[in-house]
Amino acid sequence: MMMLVSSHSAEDPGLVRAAAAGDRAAFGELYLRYARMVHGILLGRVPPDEAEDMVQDVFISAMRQLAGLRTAAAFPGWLAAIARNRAMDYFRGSRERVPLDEALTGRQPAAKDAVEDAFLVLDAVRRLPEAYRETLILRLVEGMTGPEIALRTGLTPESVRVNLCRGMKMLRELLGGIEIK
Amino acid sequence: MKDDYLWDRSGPPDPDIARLEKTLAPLRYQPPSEPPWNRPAIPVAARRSPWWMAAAASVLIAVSAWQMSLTPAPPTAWRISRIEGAARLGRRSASASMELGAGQVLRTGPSADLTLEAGAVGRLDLGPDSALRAASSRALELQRGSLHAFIWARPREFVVDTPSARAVDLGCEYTLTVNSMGDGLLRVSMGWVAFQAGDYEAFIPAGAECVTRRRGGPGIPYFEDAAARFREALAAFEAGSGPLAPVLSNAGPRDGLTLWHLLTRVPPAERAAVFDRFAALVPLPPQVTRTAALAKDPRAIDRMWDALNLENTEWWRGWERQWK
Repeated sequence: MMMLVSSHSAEDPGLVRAAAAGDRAAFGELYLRYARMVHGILLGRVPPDEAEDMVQDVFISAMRQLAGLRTAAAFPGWLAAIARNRAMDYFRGSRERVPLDEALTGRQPAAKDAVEDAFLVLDAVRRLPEAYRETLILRLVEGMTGPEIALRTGLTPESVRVNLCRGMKMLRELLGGIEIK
Repeated sequence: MKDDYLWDRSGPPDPDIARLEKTLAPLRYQPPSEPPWNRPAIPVAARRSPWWMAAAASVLIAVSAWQMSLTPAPPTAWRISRIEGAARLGRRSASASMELGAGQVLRTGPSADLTLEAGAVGRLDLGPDSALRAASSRALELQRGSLHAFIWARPREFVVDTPSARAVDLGCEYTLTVNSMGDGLLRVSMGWVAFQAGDYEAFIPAGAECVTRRRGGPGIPYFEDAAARFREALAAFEAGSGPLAPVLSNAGPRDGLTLWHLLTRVPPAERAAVFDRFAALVPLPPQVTRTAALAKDPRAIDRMWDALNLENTEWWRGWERQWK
């Protein structure tokens, strides 16, 4: 895993430059590498079904603006900022926020229990301070490791580690009263 | 280092973290094998379907969606009679005199509260940060927040569902709260309420309260003025962190209500201790034998209830009792 992350990270600035020059295949590779990070950021702010749809919106927006990005190394933080802004736009618009429990409507009963449990925990994570919330979603939902989160978000590894440890401590306290299977 | 698993999944897995990862896995993003803008264009020949068919389908979908958005939800008897602060009914801002449609969700803001009235049913005060869904005039669903209900409909005709139990009105006034985890607390100030979920039932008289948990359903009711030591022991026992013995030793005569509920909930091995303590606190008629009570004989359980001499038990006669 670590080797994969390292080799990817070395290639990223080249991909960003190629994508900025109009190489669609390079942008597609960036999409595959950063989609989970974008989804995790959105998931901390908007209903899960919306987050899935909005991932593509974020990348399309990034593709249009990429030529204006001066430093390829700034891509991770820049993309994360676009995702956060897109989530804020969602609430500025006329669409009403759909609570997590309502987002369950229409799911198959078999899947409903598993998703209900997931929503319950996600609801608790979303009550954490923003920095902890985002980092924990990337770790626990998207399955990224700490080093990968640092690489993909542009945060320092130290910050990610602190966010994970403090966020997890708060989450344990929040979930102390409920039993998760 | 003890946080190694949290940091990079090295070292032995932390059981809590592994459980959370498994629980949250259904929400993980699954990127397509190729992003949409990289997919090859569909050959023209494959796209050559009659243009009018596609246009007609689009119009049909748009018209259906428009009609659905215009079709009002069937009305319920509930109408907003008072509102303070910001609230939403469905996708609209809520205001006084609006009617709740079946299926609509009424949400109050952090500093809002409102009153709902239904002529033949009763009056409800919905507190801040609450979400209430109207299934029908006689069935509401408190998804979160707090609700104070004063119900004059006939007993058993009005229910409020919560994520973990159904509160069946038995002619009463009560306050129900549900937190964001789906756990709830019911406090009865007048009359009776039954709390139901699956095989579990709890009967809560005025002055008593009962918690309900998302995973466990209704808990064991107790009187609000019960001794602190009794309540603490009961809470620990229900949470699985304390033994039964201090619950029984700290119980007073009025706590027969709690012991009666415990009798049908505890494992068979502990039932005798509960019965003995109940019999020591509450005078029992001679027809109630220890053997019958331990076997959960319905007549014995009924007579033990009658021995509690709780008021206003007319509703009880019509209740479908299913001791399990």
